[in-house]
Amino acid sequence: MSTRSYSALILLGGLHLLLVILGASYTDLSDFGPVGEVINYYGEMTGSNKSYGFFAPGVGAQARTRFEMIDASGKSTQVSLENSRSHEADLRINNITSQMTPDSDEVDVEEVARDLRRSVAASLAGKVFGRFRTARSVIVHVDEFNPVNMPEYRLGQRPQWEEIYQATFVQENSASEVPK
Amino acid sequence: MKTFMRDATAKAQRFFLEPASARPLAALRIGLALTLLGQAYLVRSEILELFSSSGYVQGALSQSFHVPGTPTVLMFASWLSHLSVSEDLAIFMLGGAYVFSLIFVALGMFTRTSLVMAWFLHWTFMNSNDTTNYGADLFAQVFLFYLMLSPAGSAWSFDVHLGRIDSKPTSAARLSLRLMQFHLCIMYLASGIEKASGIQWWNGQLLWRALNTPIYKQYDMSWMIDYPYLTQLGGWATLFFELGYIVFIWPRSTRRWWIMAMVGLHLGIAVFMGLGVFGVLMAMLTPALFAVSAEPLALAIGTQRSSRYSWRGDATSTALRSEQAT
Repeated sequence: MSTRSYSALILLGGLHLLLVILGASYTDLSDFGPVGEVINYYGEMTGSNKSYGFFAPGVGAQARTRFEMIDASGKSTQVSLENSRSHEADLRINNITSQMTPDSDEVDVEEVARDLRRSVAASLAGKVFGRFRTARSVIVHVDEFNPVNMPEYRLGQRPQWEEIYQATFVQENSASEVPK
Repeated sequence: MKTFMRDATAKAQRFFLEPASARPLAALRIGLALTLLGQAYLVRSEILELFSSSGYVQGALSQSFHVPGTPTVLMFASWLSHLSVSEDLAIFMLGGAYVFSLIFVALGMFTRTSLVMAWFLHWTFMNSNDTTNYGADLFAQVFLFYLMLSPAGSAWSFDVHLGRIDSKPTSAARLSLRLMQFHLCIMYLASGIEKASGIQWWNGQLLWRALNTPIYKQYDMSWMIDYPYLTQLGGWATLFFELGYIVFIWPRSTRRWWIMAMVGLHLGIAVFMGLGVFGVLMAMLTPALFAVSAEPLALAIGTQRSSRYSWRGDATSTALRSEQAT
């Protein structure tokens, strides 16, 4: 390979790193017409459009989903989709659940968040129906866990799971929901 | 001015293009493949739940998280259904192909092809259920992409052993290594800046909150309430090492401290927060890219310590040049 070819490769590498920097700084290039869309697709392929805010700016709330399965006789049973066969799998299931916690930093997304929450809840309830054939209805409870800071902990405050959403799904595809 | 420019160009050329061994790339290749094989093993029982249309995220909902035009498992399943292959079988076939490609990547057999396949399948699985992805998936995608384009099979591989690939140092190896090193620097800087913008990393609340949040909690860490300076020190140290990474990972005198800090930080995340795959993957990146020597073995002997402040490798090449001059 000639030096000129390598110079071209360095230039391409530099452009790639520029996209990495833009991605890391949350710059959305998809608004720049077709070129932006191509760059965005390239970013999806290579991961260059991603940001790196792990545990930043802080640790927020954690969500969990509980399912109450009610059979034909009206008997209620608590079931879980997280099977604890591996923490890695549970982390992924928890990521799905976290889609149901509204992001307080976003504005004007209440309706979208509500629809998304309902869709995710319905999807998970469908999974419970599939796994437990005797279920006639499934109540999906979404709880949120807000850790307490050290000063409050010292004063005796303890973190609690708090229900933020509840929806009931019955097999006839009718459902009712109770946002908290 | 002319001399300065000439010197600068020569230095840049040496920094980016001086022929290097592919050993760091091979270390990353093997480490990444083994970590991803471990991850595949850990989620093996959930593969249908995570990716099938009747899994946790069902039907149209999974499409709403999907970036248009990107490949998904269900897209392949739909194609394979024309051959009477069921969706479940198609998912198992793709999963099997992914695992086999990773085994081949680790062994360095048909390395380039295996890496292309591993990257593509990894990306496909990521696109198929975006809601379940997290940092480990992202970093795997990023570095599989780099490895796929680099001569990662030119060291510690069956391809070299069987004479299919030449193991001689190349400029491509050096350039690939530099790109990955810079990516890591950008990542830690961005991560550090974002962390520093939040009060929790400064006042010690972050470690306390993270270690006591159910999904991450592995041990009872409530005793830390009596030692607030410990959590504060942990937060500051993380900020210091992440923000300083881009500067202090390069000079030989500070590199080892940063390597140790990053390995410690990420293994700590693995042990104390249960993020095993993420922790191991991240702990492996810095040593592979900054501790494994890229210098050709024959040249490296006895020359590594000749300059305290040189870039790694510059001492070697300087020595080689003076040998040639004499």
